[in-house]
Amino acid sequence: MTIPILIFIVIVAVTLGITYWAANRSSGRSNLYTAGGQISPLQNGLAITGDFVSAAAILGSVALFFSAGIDAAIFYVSPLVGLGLLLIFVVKPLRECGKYTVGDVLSVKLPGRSIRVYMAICTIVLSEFYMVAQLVGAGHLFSIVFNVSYEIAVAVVAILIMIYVAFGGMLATTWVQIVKATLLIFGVALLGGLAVIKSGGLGELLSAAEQAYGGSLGAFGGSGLSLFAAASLSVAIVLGMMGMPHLLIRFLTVKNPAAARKSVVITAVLVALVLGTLLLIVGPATLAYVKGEAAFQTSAGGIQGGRNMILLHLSTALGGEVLFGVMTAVTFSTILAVVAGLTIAIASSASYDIYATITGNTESTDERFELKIFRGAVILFVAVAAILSVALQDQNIAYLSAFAFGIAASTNFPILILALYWSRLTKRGALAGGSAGLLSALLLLVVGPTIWVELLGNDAPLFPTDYSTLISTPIAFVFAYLFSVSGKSSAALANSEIDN
Amino acid sequence: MHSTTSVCLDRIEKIMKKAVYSVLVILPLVLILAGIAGLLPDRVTNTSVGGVPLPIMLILGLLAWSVMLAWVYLLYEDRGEDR
Repeated sequence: MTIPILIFIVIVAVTLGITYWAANRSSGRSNLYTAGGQISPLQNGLAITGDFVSAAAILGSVALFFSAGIDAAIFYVSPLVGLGLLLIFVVKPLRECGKYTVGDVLSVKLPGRSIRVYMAICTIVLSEFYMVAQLVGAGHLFSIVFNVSYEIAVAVVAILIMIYVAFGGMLATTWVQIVKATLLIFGVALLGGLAVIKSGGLGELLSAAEQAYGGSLGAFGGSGLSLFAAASLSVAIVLGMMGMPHLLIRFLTVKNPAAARKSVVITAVLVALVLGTLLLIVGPATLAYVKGEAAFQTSAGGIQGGRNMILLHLSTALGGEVLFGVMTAVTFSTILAVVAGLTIAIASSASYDIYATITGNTESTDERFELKIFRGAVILFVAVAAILSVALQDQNIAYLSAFAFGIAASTNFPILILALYWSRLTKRGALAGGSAGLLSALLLLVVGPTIWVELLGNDAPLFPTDYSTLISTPIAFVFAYLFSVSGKSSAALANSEIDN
Repeated sequence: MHSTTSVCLDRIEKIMKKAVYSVLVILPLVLILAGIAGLLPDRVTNTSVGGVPLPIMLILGLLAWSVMLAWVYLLYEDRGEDR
């Protein structure tokens, strides 16, 4: 285990070095929240790629291909569909209206404090949830490599995140993400190349994978998902990405809408390359080299360390301890970078959208106390996420992540898209729509198979699937519409529409 | 009157552009969902081209399709702003 530990230490040292460098350049509100808008399209494209291809996305999608075959394609195709829709509907108006947070966009369309504070609370809740999912993954990974308890592992990871964000702000977070995305692209390419070389060619690799899988790799239906569940999961990923604050604020770090659009296209190219390699080579390679291998199996026939470890087992099979170390460090840096981005979204919402808005200081030049609030929020919310991740350490990471995306698709996304494109949206409609989307998503989750049957011990679920976005998102739109058109203040929008 | 018509036409063009791109962007997901729903014929799911299963080739093609669409949209938008 010495090589993985050494690689871990190098990665952490590099990221702390970046933070030290960025800390000297992150003095004001603009630098801390959005890196002063000086990130280039290429840098931003790499950083967004890092945010899109999270640890849950890589480990989870490869694990799903291992067990369900080509049904895993939902996880490979949905991010690119989401990127395309972001490009068409969100990026330009977001960059034009947004200054530091997603709340800025809403405050242009719906002036006043209440909706901005409400949006900030939504941002904090769903980002905190997503952060817990990432911390659970980081804690398990760190405890395996360093052979320490899960609680100590989570504490170390949490302290690292606090240092990155509190001192380095968005600039450090962006560069940590760029380093991680570069490592990730390199790691996936290396894994793919080694798998093809070891098999003697792509055709041979796929043939061996098909043999291990026990059926055609092109046959759908392995996941057992119904059409409704599959469609709902896809919609959650696509629309959730369009409502995830840590992704949206990345478009505020470049200087103008044209640069924001360019960064989306760069992201699309990189994400397609990574996901295409995972689908065509790495997924089948896990079947060929991990499935049925005694070294990676428990006595009960399961996968050692759980299914999320399949990609790391493939690294061991193809490159021994060194490649295991490289891929573990890449995965760990992936989690660090994504959690740092989430922390920025949460802390800027707390300090700017809530504190500065309530005290009326959003335009104030005296930012000292606000920045203290920002740093305090970083410590508070990372600590809360760490405590929650200890309590939820046995929960499935992919499930927790999918839930966060479902919430984003049912709350932030409807409000944001209506604010941008529907001139009659009122504050009342936005609050009602967001609340209805949130409550319906929570309710349907509770009565779904995982909580209602597995956790609460009932015989059958009241709602047949854990994925309810196809219902909760339309509910949010309907409530927003009804409460807007029925309210007396439907003409409340002074700035009624952005010309896109 | 002429200017009102021009504004309307401009608006219709923008809406049409977004609608057409949205449909084209969503197409890959429709194909995957059709596969999960069992709507793709066995001839497609059981065929391989050069050892690569046809559905995997199709999905790779769709990933490239998404990238190409994003690129075309970027060029179109930038040209519009230049005008």
